[in-house]
Amino acid sequence: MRDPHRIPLDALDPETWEPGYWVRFRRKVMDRAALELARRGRRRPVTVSQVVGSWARALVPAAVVAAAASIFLLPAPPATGASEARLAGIEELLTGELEELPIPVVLASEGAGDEPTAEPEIEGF
Amino acid sequence: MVGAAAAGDGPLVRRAREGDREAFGLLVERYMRTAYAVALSVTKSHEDAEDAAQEAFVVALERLDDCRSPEKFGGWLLTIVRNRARNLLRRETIRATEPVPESASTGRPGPDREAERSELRSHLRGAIGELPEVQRVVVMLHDLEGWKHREIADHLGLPAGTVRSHLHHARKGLRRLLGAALEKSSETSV
Repeated sequence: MRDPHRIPLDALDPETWEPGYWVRFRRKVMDRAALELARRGRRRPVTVSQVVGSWARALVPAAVVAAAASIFLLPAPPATGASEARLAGIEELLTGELEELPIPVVLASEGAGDEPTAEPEIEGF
Repeated sequence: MVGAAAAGDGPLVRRAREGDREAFGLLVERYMRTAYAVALSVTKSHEDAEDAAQEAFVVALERLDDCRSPEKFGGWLLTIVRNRARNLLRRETIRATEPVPESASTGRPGPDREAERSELRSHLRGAIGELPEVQRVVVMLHDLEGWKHREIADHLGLPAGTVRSHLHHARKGLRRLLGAALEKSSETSV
Protein backbone atom coordinates (compact mmCIF):
# COMPACT_ATOMS: atom_id res chain seq x y z
CA MET A 1 0.00 0.00 0.00
CA ARG A 2 1.39 3.35 -1.05
CA ASP A 3 1.98 5.87 1.71
CA PRO A 4 -0.41 8.82 1.03
CA HIS A 5 1.92 11.23 2.84
CA ARG A 6 4.92 10.26 0.75
CA ILE A 7 6.74 13.13 -0.99
CA PRO A 8 7.31 12.25 -4.68
CA LEU A 9 11.08 12.37 -4.83
CA ASP A 10 11.33 10.18 -7.94
CA ALA A 11 12.51 13.15 -9.97
CA LEU A 12 15.79 12.98 -8.03
CA ASP A 13 16.52 9.52 -9.45
CA PRO A 14 19.17 10.11 -12.19
CA GLU A 15 17.58 7.40 -14.31
CA THR A 16 14.66 9.78 -14.96
CA TRP A 17 16.84 12.25 -16.88
CA GLU A 18 19.69 9.94 -17.90
CA PRO A 19 18.46 6.58 -19.21
CA GLY A 20 20.80 3.68 -18.45
CA TYR A 21 22.34 5.64 -15.59
CA TRP A 22 22.40 2.75 -13.09
CA VAL A 23 23.91 0.31 -15.58
CA ARG A 24 26.74 2.78 -16.19
CA PHE A 25 27.08 3.49 -12.48
CA ARG A 26 27.51 -0.21 -11.72
CA ARG A 27 30.01 -0.64 -14.56
CA LYS A 28 32.10 2.29 -13.31
CA VAL A 29 32.21 0.87 -9.78
CA MET A 30 33.18 -2.58 -11.08
CA ASP A 31 35.95 -1.05 -13.20
CA ARG A 32 37.31 0.85 -10.22
CA ALA A 33 37.10 -2.27 -8.06
CA ALA A 34 38.78 -4.58 -10.59
CA LEU A 35 42.30 -4.31 -9.14
CA GLU A 36 41.17 -4.94 -5.57
CA LEU A 37 39.02 -7.89 -6.64
CA ALA A 38 42.01 -9.38 -8.50
CA ARG A 39 44.23 -8.89 -5.45
CA ARG A 40 41.71 -10.61 -3.23
CA GLY A 41 41.37 -13.45 -5.72
CA ARG A 42 45.13 -14.05 -5.63
CA ARG A 43 45.33 -14.22 -1.83
CA ARG A 44 42.48 -16.72 -1.58
CA PRO A 45 43.40 -19.30 1.13
CA VAL A 46 44.62 -22.65 -0.24
CA THR A 47 43.55 -26.03 1.08
CA VAL A 48 45.87 -28.88 2.13
CA SER A 49 44.87 -30.94 -0.90
CA GLN A 50 45.70 -28.00 -3.20
CA VAL A 51 49.16 -27.69 -1.64
CA VAL A 52 49.77 -31.46 -1.94
CA GLY A 53 48.48 -31.37 -5.49
CA SER A 54 50.78 -28.52 -6.46
CA TRP A 55 53.77 -30.35 -4.95
CA ALA A 56 52.79 -33.57 -6.68
CA ARG A 57 52.62 -31.83 -10.03
CA ALA A 58 56.27 -30.81 -9.72
CA LEU A 59 57.65 -33.74 -7.78
CA VAL A 60 56.23 -36.73 -9.62
CA PRO A 61 57.88 -35.95 -12.99
CA ALA A 62 61.13 -35.05 -11.21
CA ALA A 63 61.11 -38.37 -9.39
CA VAL A 64 60.50 -40.25 -12.62
CA VAL A 65 63.41 -38.47 -14.33
CA ALA A 66 65.69 -39.12 -11.35
CA ALA A 67 64.80 -42.80 -11.31
CA ALA A 68 65.47 -43.13 -15.04
CA ALA A 69 68.79 -41.31 -14.75
CA SER A 70 69.91 -43.47 -11.85
CA ILE A 71 69.62 -46.60 -13.98
CA PHE A 72 72.30 -45.30 -16.31
CA LEU A 73 74.46 -43.23 -13.98
CA LEU A 74 74.92 -45.36 -10.86
CA PRO A 75 77.95 -47.88 -11.12
CA ALA A 76 77.01 -51.53 -11.55
CA PRO A 77 77.66 -53.73 -8.44
CA PRO A 78 80.82 -55.96 -8.67
CA ALA A 79 80.44 -59.63 -9.60
CA THR A 80 80.12 -62.13 -6.69
CA GLY A 81 83.22 -64.22 -7.80
CA ALA A 82 85.54 -61.28 -7.32
CA SER A 83 84.39 -60.68 -3.77
CA GLU A 84 84.99 -64.30 -2.88
CA ALA A 85 88.51 -64.07 -4.30
CA ARG A 86 89.16 -60.96 -2.25
CA LEU A 87 87.99 -62.74 0.90
CA ALA A 88 90.22 -65.70 0.14
CA GLY A 89 93.22 -63.39 -0.22
CA ILE A 90 92.64 -61.96 3.24
CA GLU A 91 92.50 -65.45 4.71
CA GLU A 92 95.79 -66.38 3.06
CA LEU A 93 97.44 -63.29 4.47
CA LEU A 94 96.34 -64.20 7.95
CA THR A 95 97.43 -67.82 7.84
CA GLY A 96 100.42 -67.68 5.47
CA GLU A 97 103.22 -67.33 8.07
CA LEU A 98 101.87 -70.14 10.13
CA GLU A 99 101.91 -72.54 7.27
CA GLU A 100 105.58 -71.93 6.51
CA LEU A 101 106.62 -73.24 9.86
CA PRO A 102 106.41 -77.02 10.67
CA ILE A 103 104.02 -77.71 13.47
CA PRO A 104 106.55 -79.52 15.79
CA VAL A 105 108.82 -76.56 15.63
CA VAL A 106 106.06 -74.40 16.62
CA LEU A 107 105.18 -76.60 19.52
CA ALA A 108 108.81 -76.84 20.52
CA SER A 109 109.24 -73.14 20.54
CA GLU A 110 106.13 -72.77 22.56
CA GLY A 111 107.27 -75.39 25.12
CA ALA A 112 110.88 -74.26 25.46
CA GLY A 113 111.86 -73.49 29.05
CA ASP A 114 108.69 -74.86 30.48
CA GLU A 115 109.76 -78.45 31.07
CA PRO A 116 113.12 -79.62 32.45
CA THR A 117 115.26 -81.32 29.91
CA ALA A 118 116.06 -84.38 31.87
CA GLU A 119 117.97 -86.82 29.85
CA PRO A 120 117.95 -90.36 31.19
CA GLU A 121 121.22 -91.48 32.55
CA ILE A 122 121.75 -95.11 31.70
CA GLU A 123 124.51 -96.65 33.43
CA GLY A 124 126.65 -98.91 31.40
CA PHE A 125 126.46 -97.16 28.21
CA MET B 1 21.88 -16.67 -10.75
CA VAL B 2 18.69 -16.43 -8.70
CA GLY B 3 20.12 -18.04 -5.55
CA ALA B 4 22.99 -15.60 -5.24
CA ALA B 5 20.76 -12.62 -6.03
CA ALA B 6 18.28 -13.66 -3.35
CA ALA B 7 21.00 -14.40 -0.80
CA GLY B 8 21.44 -12.18 2.24
CA ASP B 9 24.36 -9.81 2.45
CA GLY B 10 26.43 -12.19 4.60
CA PRO B 11 27.21 -14.88 1.97
CA LEU B 12 27.82 -12.21 -0.69
CA VAL B 13 30.24 -10.31 1.55
CA ARG B 14 32.16 -13.50 2.35
CA ARG B 15 32.45 -14.32 -1.35
CA ALA B 16 33.45 -10.76 -2.22
CA ARG B 17 36.21 -10.99 0.41
CA GLU B 18 37.72 -13.77 -1.69
CA GLY B 19 37.58 -11.62 -4.80
CA ASP B 20 34.31 -12.97 -6.23
CA ARG B 21 33.35 -10.41 -8.87
CA GLU B 22 29.77 -11.59 -9.22
CA ALA B 23 29.11 -11.36 -5.47
CA PHE B 24 30.51 -7.85 -5.25
CA GLY B 25 28.50 -6.86 -8.33
CA LEU B 26 25.30 -8.02 -6.63
CA LEU B 27 26.12 -5.96 -3.55
CA VAL B 28 26.70 -2.91 -5.75
CA GLU B 29 23.40 -3.49 -7.54
CA ARG B 30 21.58 -3.92 -4.24
CA TYR B 31 22.86 -0.73 -2.61
CA MET B 32 23.83 1.67 -5.42
CA ARG B 33 20.54 3.62 -5.38
CA THR B 34 20.51 3.89 -1.60
CA ALA B 35 24.18 4.88 -1.53
CA TYR B 36 23.49 7.60 -4.09
CA ALA B 37 20.43 8.84 -2.17
CA VAL B 38 22.38 9.08 1.08
CA ALA B 39 25.29 10.80 -0.66
CA LEU B 40 22.89 13.22 -2.34
CA SER B 41 21.27 14.04 0.97
CA VAL B 42 24.70 15.06 2.28
CA THR B 43 26.26 16.75 -0.75
CA LYS B 44 23.08 18.14 -2.36
CA SER B 45 24.87 17.82 -5.69
CA HIS B 46 24.36 15.08 -8.28
CA GLU B 47 28.01 14.90 -9.35
CA ASP B 48 29.34 14.87 -5.82
CA ALA B 49 26.78 12.27 -4.77
CA GLU B 50 27.82 10.06 -7.67
CA ASP B 51 31.52 10.44 -6.84
CA ALA B 52 30.99 9.80 -3.15
CA ALA B 53 28.79 6.75 -3.71
CA GLN B 54 31.18 5.16 -6.23
CA GLU B 55 34.20 5.89 -4.08
CA ALA B 56 32.42 4.43 -1.05
CA PHE B 57 31.93 1.09 -2.81
CA VAL B 58 35.62 0.86 -3.66
CA VAL B 59 36.64 1.84 -0.13
CA ALA B 60 34.16 -0.68 1.29
CA LEU B 61 35.72 -3.42 -0.82
CA GLU B 62 39.22 -2.48 0.32
CA ARG B 63 38.08 -2.56 3.96
CA LEU B 64 35.74 -5.53 3.65
CA ASP B 65 37.73 -7.51 6.21
CA ASP B 66 36.82 -4.83 8.80
CA CYS B 67 33.08 -5.44 8.30
CA ARG B 68 32.46 -7.39 11.51
CA SER B 69 28.84 -8.27 10.75
CA PRO B 70 28.56 -9.18 7.06
CA GLU B 71 24.78 -9.49 7.48
CA LYS B 72 24.69 -5.78 8.29
CA PHE B 73 26.77 -4.78 5.30
CA GLY B 74 24.16 -2.20 4.19
CA GLY B 75 24.38 -0.09 7.32
CA TRP B 76 28.16 -0.37 7.37
CA LEU B 77 28.40 0.71 3.72
CA LEU B 78 26.09 3.69 4.22
CA THR B 79 28.25 4.92 7.08
CA ILE B 80 31.18 4.92 4.64
CA VAL B 81 29.01 6.71 2.06
CA ARG B 82 28.13 9.47 4.51
CA ASN B 83 31.75 9.89 5.58
CA ARG B 84 32.98 10.03 1.97
CA ALA B 85 30.24 12.52 1.10
CA ARG B 86 31.14 14.74 4.04
CA ASN B 87 34.84 14.60 3.12
CA LEU B 88 33.98 15.51 -0.46
CA LEU B 89 31.85 18.37 0.75
CA ARG B 90 34.73 19.71 2.83
CA ARG B 91 36.99 19.59 -0.23
CA GLU B 92 34.30 21.21 -2.34
CA THR B 93 34.03 24.23 -0.07
CA ILE B 94 37.36 25.49 -1.35
CA ARG B 95 36.21 25.54 -4.96
CA ALA B 96 32.99 26.58 -6.59
CA THR B 97 30.78 23.71 -7.71
CA GLU B 98 29.52 23.50 -11.24
CA PRO B 99 25.74 23.79 -11.55
CA VAL B 100 24.00 20.46 -12.00
CA PRO B 101 23.02 19.76 -15.60
CA GLU B 102 19.27 19.86 -15.41
CA SER B 103 18.58 18.03 -18.61
CA ALA B 104 21.02 15.60 -20.15
CA SER B 105 18.62 13.31 -21.94
CA THR B 106 17.50 13.90 -25.48
CA GLY B 107 14.03 13.55 -26.79
CA ARG B 108 12.65 10.63 -24.78
CA PRO B 109 9.74 12.06 -22.77
CA GLY B 110 9.26 15.14 -24.94
CA PRO B 111 10.65 18.60 -24.35
CA ASP B 112 7.66 19.93 -22.34
CA ARG B 113 7.56 16.97 -20.01
CA GLU B 114 11.31 17.06 -19.61
CA ALA B 115 11.22 20.75 -18.83
CA GLU B 116 8.60 20.11 -16.13
CA ARG B 117 10.69 17.34 -14.60
CA SER B 118 13.75 19.48 -14.70
CA GLU B 119 11.92 22.28 -12.93
CA LEU B 120 10.57 19.91 -10.28
CA ARG B 121 14.02 18.41 -9.79
CA SER B 122 15.44 21.85 -9.27
CA HIS B 123 12.71 22.72 -6.74
CA LEU B 124 13.20 19.41 -4.91
CA ARG B 125 16.95 19.86 -4.63
CA GLY B 126 16.53 23.36 -3.36
CA ALA B 127 13.92 22.36 -0.80
CA ILE B 128 15.76 19.29 0.43
CA GLY B 129 18.88 21.38 0.79
CA GLU B 130 17.04 23.51 3.33
CA LEU B 131 16.45 20.56 5.67
CA PRO B 132 18.86 19.43 8.38
CA GLU B 133 21.07 16.51 7.23
CA VAL B 134 19.39 13.87 9.38
CA GLN B 135 15.96 14.83 7.98
CA ARG B 136 17.34 14.74 4.44
CA VAL B 137 18.71 11.24 4.93
CA VAL B 138 15.51 9.99 6.54
CA VAL B 139 13.19 11.38 3.89
CA MET B 140 15.41 10.21 1.01
CA LEU B 141 15.71 6.68 2.39
CA HIS B 142 12.00 6.47 3.15
CA ASP B 143 10.32 8.30 0.28
CA LEU B 144 12.84 7.69 -2.50
CA GLU B 145 14.37 4.31 -1.58
CA GLY B 146 11.38 2.82 0.21
CA TRP B 147 13.19 1.85 3.41
CA LYS B 148 11.07 1.11 6.47
CA HIS B 149 11.30 3.12 9.69
CA ARG B 150 12.95 0.20 11.46
CA GLU B 151 15.62 -0.17 8.77
CA ILE B 152 16.44 3.54 8.85
CA ALA B 153 16.53 3.45 12.64
CA ASP B 154 18.97 0.52 12.57
CA HIS B 155 21.19 2.26 10.06
CA LEU B 156 21.26 5.63 11.80
CA GLY B 157 21.37 4.18 15.30
CA LEU B 158 18.23 6.07 16.30
CA PRO B 159 15.00 4.91 17.96
CA ALA B 160 12.24 4.19 15.44
CA GLY B 161 10.09 6.90 17.06
CA THR B 162 12.78 9.49 16.40
CA VAL B 163 12.96 8.41 12.77
CA ARG B 164 9.17 8.87 12.46
CA SER B 165 9.51 12.32 13.96
CA HIS B 166 12.33 13.30 11.56
CA LEU B 167 10.28 12.02 8.64
CA HIS B 168 7.23 13.98 9.75
CA HIS B 169 9.21 17.22 10.09
CA ALA B 170 11.05 16.65 6.80
CA ARG B 171 7.79 16.15 4.90
CA LYS B 172 6.20 19.15 6.56
CA GLY B 173 9.21 21.28 5.63
CA LEU B 174 9.23 20.05 2.04
CA ARG B 175 5.51 20.74 1.61
CA ARG B 176 5.97 24.22 2.91
CA LEU B 177 9.02 24.89 0.71
CA LEU B 178 7.69 23.23 -2.43
CA GLY B 179 4.10 24.42 -2.16
CA ALA B 180 2.62 24.81 -5.60
CA ALA B 181 5.37 22.86 -7.36
CA LEU B 182 4.47 19.76 -5.39
CA GLU B 183 0.76 20.08 -6.18
CA LYS B 184 1.55 20.55 -9.85
CA SER B 185 3.79 17.47 -9.80
CA SER B 186 1.14 15.28 -8.17
CA GLU B 187 -1.41 16.45 -10.75
CA THR B 188 0.85 15.57 -13.70
CA SER B 189 1.91 12.24 -12.25
CA VAL B 190 -1.69 10.98 -11.85
